[in-house]
Amino acid sequence: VTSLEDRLREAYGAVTDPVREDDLPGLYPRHRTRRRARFGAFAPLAAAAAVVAAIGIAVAVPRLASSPGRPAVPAAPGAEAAAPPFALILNRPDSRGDQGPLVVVSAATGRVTGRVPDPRRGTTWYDAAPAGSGTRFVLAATPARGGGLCKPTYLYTLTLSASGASASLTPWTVPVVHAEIGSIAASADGSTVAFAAAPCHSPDQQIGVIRGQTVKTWQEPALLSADSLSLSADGSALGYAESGAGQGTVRVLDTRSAAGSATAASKIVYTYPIGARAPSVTLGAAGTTMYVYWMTGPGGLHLTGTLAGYRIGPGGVQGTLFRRTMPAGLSVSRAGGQVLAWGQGVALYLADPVTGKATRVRAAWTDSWQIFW
Amino acid sequence: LVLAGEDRRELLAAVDALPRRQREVLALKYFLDLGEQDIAAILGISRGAVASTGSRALSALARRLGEES
Repeated sequence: VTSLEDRLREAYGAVTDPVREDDLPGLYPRHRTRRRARFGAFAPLAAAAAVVAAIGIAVAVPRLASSPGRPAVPAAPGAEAAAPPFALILNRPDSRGDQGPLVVVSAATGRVTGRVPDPRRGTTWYDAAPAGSGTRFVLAATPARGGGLCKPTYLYTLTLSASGASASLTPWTVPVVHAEIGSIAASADGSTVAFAAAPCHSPDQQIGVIRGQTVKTWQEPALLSADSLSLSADGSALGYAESGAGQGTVRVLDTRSAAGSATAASKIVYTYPIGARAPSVTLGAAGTTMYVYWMTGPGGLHLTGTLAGYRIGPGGVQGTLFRRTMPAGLSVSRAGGQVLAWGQGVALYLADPVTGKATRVRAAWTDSWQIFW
Repeated sequence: LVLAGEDRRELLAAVDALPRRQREVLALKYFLDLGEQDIAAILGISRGAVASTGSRALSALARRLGEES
């Protein structure tokens, strides 16, 4: 019997061999010299570059559609709204895990309009969820190092000025999430936040919803995990992808239901196509549409992406809005009234929520390590 | 060793479901073949944390794949 470790080596090698640092422009646009110098203390330069690349590649490739952010949107499907004016971007952490500031860019011009320094000494920005107006975001920060799997997550509300500068950064009084979160989502007014996390003393994952001063949690079944969270504009419905070995579904959880079992509180509205890989989903603002991106292919990097929009109801999918082929390596979220399909190092598209017509946004900032728009 | 495409997909899907830190440790250990000390330096965690995180990741993978850990 081949060991799990040998199989991991083979799988990583098969998926990542064709990818070289040169294939990933924009990963190291800043502080390259400093990063190399830090690594020089314990590894050759080539190995240092490979390590930094490997964290991104080998961690990200199995989940090519990793979270780019979970924008919330006030507009109803079909009522196309302009894309939000500002996006938050994070550059890749350096070799020590130091994240650097969260940067605000104008989506129209690409100009940096503001910077949001780390919120407290020793912490670093980790995730973000746009909320509503396009000038408000819920941010998540964790300790930069230490803490192992028990790193807490701190939440903040960032409000931007009309010019895109950081106008206020307000910490949430409750709660500190006692786990490193995997995904967050915000309602349109930013008052409701959902997260998925694996508490450090538990092998199983939880979904949590914070509303005001209260936190409700739902337990995921053993061996299954929730990812790709999105909230309806009013925060009442939480969409998420649930996956585990050999299965994958999209569920919508009623956030007003009692805490307890995620299975009991949610309904399956969609089951991934057989063979689908790295699916990513986002609910429409009204909670009546759902957008799914998945990849299929024989493995390795020979993958094809598909973006589809569906009308959904309590019983599941009620109709197909569109279905179109896209590049591999994207994930979906909402940006204003449109569907954002983005993959670092791949491309960024805004898709019409009704027709699926996708327009590529060509700007340097779209190749950032993480984008929250 | 060459895995069948389906086996590889299943394995990578199981890796995908792990917490980020566990995925990082697995990638550094099994993709780059780095030692625990180097991984600890890169991730800014203790060597013991690397060992325990890697162990937990393998156990979780085995459970997800329906194998004994």
